[in-house]
Amino acid sequence: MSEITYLGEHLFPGALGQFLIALGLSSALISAVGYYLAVRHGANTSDHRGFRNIGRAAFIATSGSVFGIISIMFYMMINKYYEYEYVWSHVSDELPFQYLFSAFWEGQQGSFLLWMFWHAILGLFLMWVAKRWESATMAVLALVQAFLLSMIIGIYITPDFRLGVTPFSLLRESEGMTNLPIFANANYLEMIKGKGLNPLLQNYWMTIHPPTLFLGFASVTIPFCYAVAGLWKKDYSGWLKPVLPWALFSGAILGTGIVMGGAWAYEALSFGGYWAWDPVENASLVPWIVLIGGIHTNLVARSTQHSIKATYALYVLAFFFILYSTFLTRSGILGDSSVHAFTEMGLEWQLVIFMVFFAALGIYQYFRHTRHIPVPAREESFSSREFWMFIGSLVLLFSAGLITFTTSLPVINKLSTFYGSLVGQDTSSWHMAQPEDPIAHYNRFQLWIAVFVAFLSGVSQYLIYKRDKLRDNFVKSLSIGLLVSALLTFLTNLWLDINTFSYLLLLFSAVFTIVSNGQYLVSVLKLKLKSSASVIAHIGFGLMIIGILASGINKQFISNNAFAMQGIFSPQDERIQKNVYLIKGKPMFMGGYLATYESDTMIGNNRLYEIKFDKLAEDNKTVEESFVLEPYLTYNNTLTEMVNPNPSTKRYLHKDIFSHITAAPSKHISVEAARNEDDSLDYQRYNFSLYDTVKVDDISMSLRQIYMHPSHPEYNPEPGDLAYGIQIIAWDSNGIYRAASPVLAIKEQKYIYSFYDELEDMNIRLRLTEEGLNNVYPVEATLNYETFRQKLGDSFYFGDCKITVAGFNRSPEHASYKPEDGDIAVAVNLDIESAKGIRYRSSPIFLIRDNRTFLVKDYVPELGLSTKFSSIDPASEKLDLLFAKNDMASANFPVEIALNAPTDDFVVLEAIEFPGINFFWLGCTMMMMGMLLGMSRRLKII
Amino acid sequence: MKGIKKIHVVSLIMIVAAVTLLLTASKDMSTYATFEQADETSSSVKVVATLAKDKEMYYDPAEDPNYFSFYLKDANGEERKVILHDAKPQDFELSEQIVVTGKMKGNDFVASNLLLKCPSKYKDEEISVRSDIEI
Repeated sequence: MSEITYLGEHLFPGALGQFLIALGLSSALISAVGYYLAVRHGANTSDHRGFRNIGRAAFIATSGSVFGIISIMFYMMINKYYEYEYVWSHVSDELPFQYLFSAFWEGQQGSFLLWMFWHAILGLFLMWVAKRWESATMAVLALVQAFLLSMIIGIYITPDFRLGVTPFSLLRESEGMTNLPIFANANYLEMIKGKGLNPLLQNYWMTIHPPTLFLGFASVTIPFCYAVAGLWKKDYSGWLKPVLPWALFSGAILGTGIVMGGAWAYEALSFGGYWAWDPVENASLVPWIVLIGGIHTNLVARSTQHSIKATYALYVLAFFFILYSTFLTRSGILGDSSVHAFTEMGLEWQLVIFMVFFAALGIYQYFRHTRHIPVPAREESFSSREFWMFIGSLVLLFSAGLITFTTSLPVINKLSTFYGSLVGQDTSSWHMAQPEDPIAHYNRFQLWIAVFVAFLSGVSQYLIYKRDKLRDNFVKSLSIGLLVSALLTFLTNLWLDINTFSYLLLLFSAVFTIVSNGQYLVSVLKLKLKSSASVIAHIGFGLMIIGILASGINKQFISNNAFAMQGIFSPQDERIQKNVYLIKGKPMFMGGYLATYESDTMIGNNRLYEIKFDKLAEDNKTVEESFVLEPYLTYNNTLTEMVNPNPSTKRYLHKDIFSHITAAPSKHISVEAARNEDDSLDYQRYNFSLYDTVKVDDISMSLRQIYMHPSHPEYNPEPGDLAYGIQIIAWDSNGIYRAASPVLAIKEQKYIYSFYDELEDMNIRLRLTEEGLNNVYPVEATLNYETFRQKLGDSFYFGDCKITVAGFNRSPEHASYKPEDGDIAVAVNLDIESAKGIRYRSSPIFLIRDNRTFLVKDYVPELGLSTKFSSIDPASEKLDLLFAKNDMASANFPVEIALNAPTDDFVVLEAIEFPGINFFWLGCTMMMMGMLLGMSRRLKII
Repeated sequence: MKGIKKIHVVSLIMIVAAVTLLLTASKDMSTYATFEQADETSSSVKVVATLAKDKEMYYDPAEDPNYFSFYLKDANGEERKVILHDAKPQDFELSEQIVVTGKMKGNDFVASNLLLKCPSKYKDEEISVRSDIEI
């Protein structure tokens, strides 16, 4: 086979990008080496200038390469160069511009680049401010950056081992694609279109969450760099001061990123909550918890020289957990246990090496120097603040360890399989599955940790650094604090109504933290907000716990209907009824509300369901308050399939009402499901004539109207369509009347579309057949036209119809007439009264276009009457009108009818009340603000 | 008692607490079972299974929006009717594998939790062709 020369490909940007990756990787390595030598050959307080400058230049080069790679990728994505696999996978012609960023970091390589982007920015900043710490910290950072760049280089080291996956690979060369027949066409690019961004991710969260989270990830690297630098330069306490603002920044940003993830889950996904202890969520929470521990020991170490070792260990561990989390989410190992990990890309071993290398670097440095790390001669005293802060940090590490253990079950299983393969034993019986109820499992332990941490962060505020003795008023302050907390807990519990001891204790500890920190703010800090960073963060922690308790324990499914379920379940059945079935237009009682499914509307990719909630008073009659929620279903880009149900939430200050759709008619789910459902129905054929009654089962039906230009919710009329519709009235023996209007249309003279309609409450579906079309569009050759010469105002009889010439219309509208410039068109309005006294109007058109005469025929389907307007005599003002009639009275309209058909006018709704959820958001925000305030204080910005 | 510091005491306490907690925690961890094993126990188990696509899947929200039943086949080819007291999960039919948690009640397996493993809809290696072009 000869080589194909492909047309229209843009190979230059890819080649340039690939070059920049190589340049970036090599300059990152040069930078690391340069900075390394600058430390080696420098003095303790000043680095070797020559080597440092090499490190600097190379780091600027690697950062420039990263920015260049990102720019090229955006350039390719904006121009929709589908010859590149990455562009094809994440972009489509329809993708709105604002989602380009989301499309960029949707894939593994893009998110790696986002991470590197932040490393580059942070690194350039660090270079500028780190002074004597520059070389040592930057050497580590450059090395991390080199490892990350190797993840996207995509070169084969051996034929089987590929280093990284490049974002610049060509579609036709990527895995599984090479043999596709489409690439036998030189102009294949004209034929393909991009897959586009997953519609689930087409929202603003996807625009703001990943950059924040990755800035958080990238910022955890800096304390790690300082820790290694502190050991390396043997300046065991000098690094404690400059690292602190970085650690606080990192804590605030990573925390914000995690909470944003929770907010996204709560607002856009429908599992009904902000946290599910999903392994991917845990993977970013664990480094944050460890980092927070590190910040606390760092504070202790700054003030007392105690806990320096712990600070080293915690900052190294925090970074290690970032790498571990990267491994978990990107290696595909979580496939069984998480819903939102990345897909596998064959990077597992590379990720393992990444992780092991930096773990080894941290551990090696730590143990090499541990003997030299100063430890104060005197131990921390029980009554000192440093002791309890240290214990608190240890508890945080402990919490991280427990979370990691359960999250790592898939890894542990893999390891035991590996061990089994080494010793030749089947170890599959050792495998552990994820806990049955993960949320309960995690909560069980984290609850006690939270109680402990909350008490500690309260008590510590009464203690002082480096003091053996308690403060004079310690007992007094603490007792007041405890007393006030007890009272406030009691009052809060009037609202929360908790009666489990452990939850009450947690509530008490959270209230205590708020009270004692408040006390500290007033009595010690004298309300100086500038110095109140820790107070704000800890009060935030307390509020967050209260929010979790309130929204978690008192979460209530309001979508249950005790009345409707009577008889189905025995009273001792404690199963929670989570879903209610709502029929369009029929109010339904549920959990104190009257819920009504009012309408559904397609807007863009979404189908919005309007659900009206009427809050009922005690008497179950008076409506106290009404609001509308609009949960919606999101469809794929071709609108053939639903991809996600999205919730809608009514927010109050003290609670949220959260709702989403859990089931909908199959025609709202997917085209295929609707077709399968309709195919499975047993349609029987019945012949209808105008006004005759047909008996179907015990229902009487009658054909009442025929439409030439029918309307139907799913039918989109276009010029050139041949379409008709009928109206059928049905009634049962109880005198209940229903109507249905099925429609049939032929588009482009070949595609037949039948749009069924249903008789509400009767579970009957009706659809039309093609044969009926001939009645509505009689063949011209079979018609015998009779000519009448009449004047305006004349009345005359054609058969048994009385016809009156009612007037003219000089700008006529007609489905088969499309006006053009230069047309002379006149319609005559004819009023027609049938023998039964029913009135109709017909308006045939006389048209002169390009000096030729055209007659646009009109038709009254109920009468079978064709009308034409063939000429006008200006002198006598007489018109020539042509009439013909086909036999409509005996015309036969076959209709296919299915009994026991499912209805399309329903949705199944889940609605949950979350009380106090705003405490959670407020508390989280305060924690992050507290850390940012602390950072600003230490940088002397404020 | 020279050499023993408070920190050592505290560490020891924490290690003991950690081991205790992990031991209690491992009770939460379920083990994977087969339907045959599920028949023999009254406690809750996790079964890895696939959907028996030839058998009936029943969800009629008009009758009960909180009742969904279907048939699963475990690794040994054993089949059971499974009942879930909730709405039918999205993309249920597409699942390649279902991890079901619950216990037997009579002849039926009553599920408390389902974990579906679905092939991603967006990962199929198939190139969509512009609709206006015929090849």
